[in-house]
Amino acid sequence: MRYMILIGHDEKGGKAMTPEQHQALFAAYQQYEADLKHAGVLLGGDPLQGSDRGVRISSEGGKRKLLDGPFSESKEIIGGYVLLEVKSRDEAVEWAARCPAAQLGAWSYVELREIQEIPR
Amino acid sequence: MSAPDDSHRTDHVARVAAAIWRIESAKLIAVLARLLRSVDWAEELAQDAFVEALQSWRKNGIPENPGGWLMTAGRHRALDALRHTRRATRQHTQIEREQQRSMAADFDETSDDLIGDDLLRLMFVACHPVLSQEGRVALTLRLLGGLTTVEIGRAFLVPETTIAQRITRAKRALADKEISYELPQPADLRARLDSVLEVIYLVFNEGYLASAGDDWMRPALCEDALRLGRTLAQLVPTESEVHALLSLMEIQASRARARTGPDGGALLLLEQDRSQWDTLLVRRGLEGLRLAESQVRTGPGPYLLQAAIAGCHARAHEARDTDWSRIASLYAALMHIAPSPVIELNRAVAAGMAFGPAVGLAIVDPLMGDPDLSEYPFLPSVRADLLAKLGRFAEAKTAVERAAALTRNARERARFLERAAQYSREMRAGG
Repeated sequence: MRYMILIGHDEKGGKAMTPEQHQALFAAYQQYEADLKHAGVLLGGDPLQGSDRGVRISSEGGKRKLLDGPFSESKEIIGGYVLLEVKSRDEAVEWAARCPAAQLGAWSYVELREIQEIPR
Repeated sequence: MSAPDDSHRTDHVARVAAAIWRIESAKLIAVLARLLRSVDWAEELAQDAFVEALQSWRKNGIPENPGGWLMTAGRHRALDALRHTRRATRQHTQIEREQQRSMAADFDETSDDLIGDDLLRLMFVACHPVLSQEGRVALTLRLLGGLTTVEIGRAFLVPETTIAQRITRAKRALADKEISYELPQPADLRARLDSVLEVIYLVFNEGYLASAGDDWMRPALCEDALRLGRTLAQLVPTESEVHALLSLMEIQASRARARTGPDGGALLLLEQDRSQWDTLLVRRGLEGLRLAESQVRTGPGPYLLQAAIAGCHARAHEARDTDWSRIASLYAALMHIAPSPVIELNRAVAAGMAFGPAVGLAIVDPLMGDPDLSEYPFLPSVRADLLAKLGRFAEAKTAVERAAALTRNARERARFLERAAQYSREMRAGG
C-alpha cells in the first residue's frame, strides 16, 4: 500500500522560528529520513518552496484564472510530501505521526492519504 | 485517546502494536543480538518486550514514543537476563555502557550509525553461508522482515511447522558454529554480501514467479524483498551490486500490473501494455541503475548486467523501440561472468531480434544437446520462433509441439499448441 504524507503548515509559524529551532527541525528531518530508509519504506519525498513562488490555477466561465502566491489568505499551505510503501494503514499512521511536522504544535500538521491505484 | 469501549480500545492497541512491531522489531532484535551475542535469545527477549508493551499499553494507553518504549523495555530485559546468567560480566558492563550511550545520544547521528551497523550485522548473520538456503530465507524474513512464522508459511505455501523447524535449525546452526557477531572482514565482505543479495532475490522471485501454487505472482513477497533491498541499500550505500539488485527488482516489479492478460494468463514482456507499468518504480529503478553503474570498480557484476537489461526494456516505450543489440551484448557480458545455458538462450533471443533469426538460430542450435535444458520448454519455443521467421514452418511446428509437451502449465501449453496450428496454416499457405 502506498501512502502520501502531506506536510501542511501555517507559513507564519515557520517564519516565527529561531535559527536554533530551524536547525533542530532540520536535524529531526534528517533522522526521520534515515529511519524511513532503514525500514525500507521510503519511495520519495521533497520539501516544497514557499507559496510566494507558487501559483494557483483554475478556470471560471471557461477562462483560465491564475492566482500568484503567496497565498496569504490560506492558513494552511502544503510544504512538502513523503511517499511511503507499507503493509498496513496502521503502519502508515505510525510513520506519519513520527514526521517532525506532526510534532511542532498547532501551526503544523501532517495529512495521511492513501494513493489510489487506478484500475485498468 | 478516547475509546467507546474496552474491546475497541484493545483491538486498536493490538493493531497499533502490530504496526510498531513491523517498524521496530528488526532494530530491536539487531541491538539485542549484539548485546546478547545470540539471535535466538535476542528474538525471545524482543518478543517478551512486545508482550509487555501490549499489556502496558492496554492499561495505560499508547505512549508518545512507542518505538522508544519498546526498545527501552527490550534493553531492560537484556540487562536482567544477563544479570541472571553467569555469562561474563564483560557483556554486562557492555550493555550498561550501551544504555548510557543510548540515553545520552537519543537523537544524534552516532546512535543512528550504531543501529545501522546492528541491522547490517543481523542481515549478515541471518544470511550466513553456514545456513541452508531455506534457513537463510526463513530467518531473514522473520528477523529482518518482521514476518511471523505463519505469514512466512503462507507466503511459501508450506506448513507453519516446517518454517518453525527451519528457523530452529538455523538458529541452532548459528549457535553450534559459534558464528561471530562482528561485521565481515573486508576480505570476506564480497562473498558475504553475495549471500545476502541471493536471499533477497530469492524472496523476490518466489513472489514474482510464484513457483508453487496457482497464482502467477504473490505480491506480498515481492514487497518484502523490495523492502529488504531498500534497507540494504541504505546500510551499504556504496556497493554497486546492492543498488543493482534493488534496481532490477524495482524494474521487474514495475511490470506486475501488466503481466496478467484479460484471460488471467501471464503476458510476456513484449505482449504487455506498457502504459500499465508502474512509472514510479521504473523511474526509481532507472535511477538506481545509474547509481550502480557509477559505483562499478573492477567490472559490472551479475545484478548490474541484469538490471541494465531490464533497464533497456524499461526505457522502450513500445516493444519495437527495444535496443536489442545492447541487450545481446549485455547477455554476452553476463555469459562471460556467470555462464549458464538459460542466459545463452536469452542472448539468442536478443541476437535474433537485433541481427536476424539466422544469427539467433546459430546460438540456439548448439544448446539443443545441453542436458540442463533438455526439459526446458522455452528452448524449443525460442527455436520454433526463429525457424518460423526463417520460413521453416514444418520444423517450427515440431519444435513448438515439443515445447507444449514439456510445459506443466496448462495455459502455456494451450499457447504453444495455438502456435503449432498457426505454423501449420503458414505451411499450407506457403504451399
